[in-house]
Amino acid sequence: MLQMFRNRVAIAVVSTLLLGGTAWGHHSFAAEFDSKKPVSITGVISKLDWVNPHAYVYLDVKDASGATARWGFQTLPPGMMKARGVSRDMFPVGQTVTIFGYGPKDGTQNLGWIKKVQYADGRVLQVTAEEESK
Amino acid sequence: MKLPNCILTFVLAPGLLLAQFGPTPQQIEQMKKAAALPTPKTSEGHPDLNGYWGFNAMALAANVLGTQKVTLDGKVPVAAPESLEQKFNVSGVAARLADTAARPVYKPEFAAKAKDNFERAAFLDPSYKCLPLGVPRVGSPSEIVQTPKATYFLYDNRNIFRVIPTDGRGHDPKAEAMPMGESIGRWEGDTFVVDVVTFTDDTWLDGDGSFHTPAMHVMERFTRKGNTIEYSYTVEDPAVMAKPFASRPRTMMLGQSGQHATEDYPCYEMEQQHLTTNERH
Repeated sequence: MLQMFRNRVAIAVVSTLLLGGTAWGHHSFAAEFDSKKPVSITGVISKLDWVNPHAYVYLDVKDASGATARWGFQTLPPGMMKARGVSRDMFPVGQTVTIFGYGPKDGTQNLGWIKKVQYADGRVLQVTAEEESK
Repeated sequence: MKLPNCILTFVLAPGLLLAQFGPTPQQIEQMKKAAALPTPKTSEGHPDLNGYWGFNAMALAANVLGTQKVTLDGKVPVAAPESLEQKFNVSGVAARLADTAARPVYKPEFAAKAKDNFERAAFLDPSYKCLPLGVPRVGSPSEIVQTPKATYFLYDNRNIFRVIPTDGRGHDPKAEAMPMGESIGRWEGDTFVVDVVTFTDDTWLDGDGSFHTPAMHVMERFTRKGNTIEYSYTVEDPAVMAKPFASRPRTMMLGQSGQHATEDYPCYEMEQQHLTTNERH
């Protein structure tokens, strides 16, 4: 198990290094999101945009009045996630999840960055590390 | 839903490590050994460029950890650690600003434009908006298919292909200007030279705002050494550049037999409107 853990770490380091270059230049987390604005939103996955330069996961979120609002969560480029072992079927449309992440600097409502996803059974998918969200 | 039950939590490495993570001495040694292998030739007598030369990050990660034995005979995937340019891509804008050799030197009257592009690259970069990378920014091909009359470049990123005639023809005076230009190839000894002209002027040479005119002339060079290819390019654009620009050479490493370029995901940009700073990778 320890070796598997170390493999995960190394794969993340190297794949980020290699895929972050000519393939898809993109803005930094800090250009758009604020690590001082943590958010945790529970809702039903309603749509995926598995696109470059960044993929999006959308949640339908009900407020106290019962009204539904759609949240959009940005995440890594799909190729980079693939290299980490994160695939789109880990975001099953129709399932209720809680997304932990950060809000945008520009104050846009219902927009966030995914740090990790917690499923209804308690399991957690850590998509980006704390250190990557700075 | 295919979730690995045994370890669902992915623990990812500290970003700080990325800035310090260049090719390891082990990887450099691998590249040297691969380059020292015999260089195969085609029936025409030219070095054989056929094969997959793209990244295989997962394999490299395994190699770094020593969990996969590397034989360097072309049967085991060995990815190429990219050049210093890659390293700078993850270590931040400031380091790249200081690395003036990574970008062209522009004529004094264009210095202000170069500076403005660099300082606002995250907002101005056509690539961020899903527009073409163009040559030479697209970089080295992921897969090369070499035939007597033409060589084909396939790219893992953005579903790009290039056809490079090698039948002795010259440039087509009627070619339409395109982001990838118009390419013809020839052999200079054991080096495959791709001569590219007829560009549009809406692409950048890099992620830092290096611009060009439609008159840009790019020469790409590919020299196979063992199971590696040394790749570099030069850019001449005297209308705006003070002198020709020469890229840093990169080493491509031969991938696994049977490995091929793969389809990339589509591009649909949605975040430009939310950017607040110029921080970028």
